[in-house]
Amino acid sequence: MRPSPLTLRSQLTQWRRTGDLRRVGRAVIGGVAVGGGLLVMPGGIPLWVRLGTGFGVLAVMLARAWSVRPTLQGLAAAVDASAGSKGLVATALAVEMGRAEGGSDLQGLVMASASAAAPQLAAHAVPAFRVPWTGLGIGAMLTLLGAVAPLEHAAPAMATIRAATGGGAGAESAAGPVSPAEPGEPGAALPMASMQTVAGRQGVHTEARARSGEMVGVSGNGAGAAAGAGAAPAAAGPSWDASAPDRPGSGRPDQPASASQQLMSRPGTERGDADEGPPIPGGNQGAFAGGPEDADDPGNADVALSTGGGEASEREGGPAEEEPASPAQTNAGAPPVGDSEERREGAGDGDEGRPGEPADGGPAPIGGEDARSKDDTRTTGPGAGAGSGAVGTAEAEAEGPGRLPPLPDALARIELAWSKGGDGTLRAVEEAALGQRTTQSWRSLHGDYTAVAEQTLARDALPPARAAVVRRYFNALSADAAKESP
Amino acid sequence: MSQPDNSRLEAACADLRRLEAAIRTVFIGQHGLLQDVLTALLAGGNVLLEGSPGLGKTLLVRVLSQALALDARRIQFTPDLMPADITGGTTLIRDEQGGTKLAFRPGPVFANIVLADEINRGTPKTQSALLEAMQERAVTVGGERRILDAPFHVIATQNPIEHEGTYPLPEAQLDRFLLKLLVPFPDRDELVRIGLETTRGAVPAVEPVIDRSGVLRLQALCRDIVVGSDVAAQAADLVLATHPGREESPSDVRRFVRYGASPRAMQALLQAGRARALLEGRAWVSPDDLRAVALPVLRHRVHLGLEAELEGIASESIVGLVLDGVLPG
Repeated sequence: MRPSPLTLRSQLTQWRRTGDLRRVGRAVIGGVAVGGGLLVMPGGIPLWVRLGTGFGVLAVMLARAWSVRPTLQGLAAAVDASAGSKGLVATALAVEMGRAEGGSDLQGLVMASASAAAPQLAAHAVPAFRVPWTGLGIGAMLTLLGAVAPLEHAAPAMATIRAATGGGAGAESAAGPVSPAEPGEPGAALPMASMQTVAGRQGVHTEARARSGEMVGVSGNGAGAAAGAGAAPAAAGPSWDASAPDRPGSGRPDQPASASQQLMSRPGTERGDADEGPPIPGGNQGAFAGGPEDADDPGNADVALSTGGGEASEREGGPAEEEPASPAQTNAGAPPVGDSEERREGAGDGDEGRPGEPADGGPAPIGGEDARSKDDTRTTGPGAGAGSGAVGTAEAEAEGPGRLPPLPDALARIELAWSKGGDGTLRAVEEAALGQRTTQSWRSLHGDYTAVAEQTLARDALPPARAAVVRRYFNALSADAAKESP
Repeated sequence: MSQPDNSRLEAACADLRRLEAAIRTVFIGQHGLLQDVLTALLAGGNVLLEGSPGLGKTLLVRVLSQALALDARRIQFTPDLMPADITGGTTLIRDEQGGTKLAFRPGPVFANIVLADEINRGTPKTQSALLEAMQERAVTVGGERRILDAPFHVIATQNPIEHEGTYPLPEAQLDRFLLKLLVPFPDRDELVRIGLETTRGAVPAVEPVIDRSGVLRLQALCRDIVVGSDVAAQAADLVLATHPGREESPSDVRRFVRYGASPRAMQALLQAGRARALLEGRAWVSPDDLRAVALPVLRHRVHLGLEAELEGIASESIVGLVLDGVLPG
């Protein structure tokens, strides 16, 4: 007689349920450990980020636990594989579910064998509970990290990020709760990025000035970085600026006469006074100036860059408690320290109102050659210094690329490259197009062409029978050049 | 709950153990080959043995027929062998009254075990004379269909090293062999035993351990071995994976295989799997059984293309690839 129906099936279902509980328990423990580690981390990570991450980790682990949940047939096959029962459980389950073929006596024999073996198979059917060492380890690491390396110093950076992403919480952190130092005091919080930029460009002296709340124009190329004003977040130097190539007047520490350095040496002066280097024809006047909100936002620097990189070294007043700078004086509309509402709204008294646009002059070049042009622009002069207020900058950021001037045509770009005395492939090709193939740059370029052609011909993948054809192709392309070049 | 009746299975296992022991008294070594031949015997299938001369192919067939007390005939295939030489034909015979009459004279195919020696030396016409017998267990002579006695097995041999004057078996006939077995060369110890035990005199005859009805009983029990749907699905996956037209097939299959295995291969996999399970004393087929029989079942059913020949790809490697993909382990 065969065993009662569903015996093995119910047994497998029970095994699977036990396995489910263990997997879910493992996931919950791991998720709680990671989430708990996030929660106990001190520092500037907002609560919603911690909670979100914790729930996310928990959800992922639960999803993983669910994804490995086997079917009954899969569980039976797994039991067979684990116990070495040679398909007994799977076959018995198939017999029980009417999905097997064979003699009835042998089917009964299979069922009886499976029932007899069930007690021994249970150990293989239910996975042993495994401690989620990974989750516990991550949670412990996070906790340890919070205890050993508090993230208070990261609070200004977080405020910068929040401000950049438009989060209203930026004012909160800027106002002081997460700021380790009081606004306006020496050593007031300076965003790490800003500090790095300052240190990298201006040296410790500049950094000290920034900490002391003095007006610091860290950039001689219109980055508009500002620090001080008692506000916790100071300007972060735009990241692209740090990687700009060395060139005269680029505001690097080794450049003696950058506008920013002049500004730095004259705290509180209008940034337009810090004129250094000749203005470029059609160069952009400094249309960018950052109030605190602008200064917090690296994107604003990008806006300034995209609009021609106005030479906007920003000035802010000294510490707010001591000497709140009037908007008219500062030209930046910088609010006093802790005026979070005003900062959030960008409601400084900026007077330009149309930031993001070139104050005057032609369109800013964009693209590969444009970068050089921008550098050149930055290099060669600060412009008139008619900075705009915080409101205007915020608008410029919001409008984004739509505010970009139209692309100049290729001729204009070539013209610009010529005017900068630039050299390189573009120039060589342009010369060649005009029939001037005797220049050194063209010879260099043509030499590269020949090398590439020979390299292509030397490739193994090129059938030898086709090499001659390819060589004729290259020769045909370069025949004219070969005749004209020396 | 009463205990299930497993007496059939136990009796079959005992018979098989005795049969194997009897064969081993004469046939030395080649354990895997013997297992495979017994698998084909239990499954009621035909076997194609491929190996160099002198490896004991003919001896195995002779010993097997002796141990099973079955009627065995040997047909030496040559290019001038005619179909009637296999199936038999009608001839004039003298009756009891002194007159003559036409009567059917059965050929060597009317036996329980037919050893078709060097089958690839026969012409395609002669080879095809075995087609009907192999598949339908019957021959048609002079318009009259004659049923062959059960059990009926064709065990054919072919020599892989001689190609001159041979006629490769057509795919249709290859498909009718349940298993294609490669006869390996014996190892050193087996070779020593062969030298010592077979040179003293004539090879002794083997005492029958199972009679004809016992063989039929074993084959009936083999058909009753339980196959679960998951194992059948794995067998189907194996067969389908040999088809080059399927996107799920391995890339080497799509590249080198011209034709994949037929549905008959699916039947062969399950039949052979059941026989393998019975040989191991199990009442159900496991994936391990499929894995064990997949190569002999599929190697002659996977037809390779020209590119495989040019690159020296053997069907065994393709089947191994498929096996690793479907039944890893």
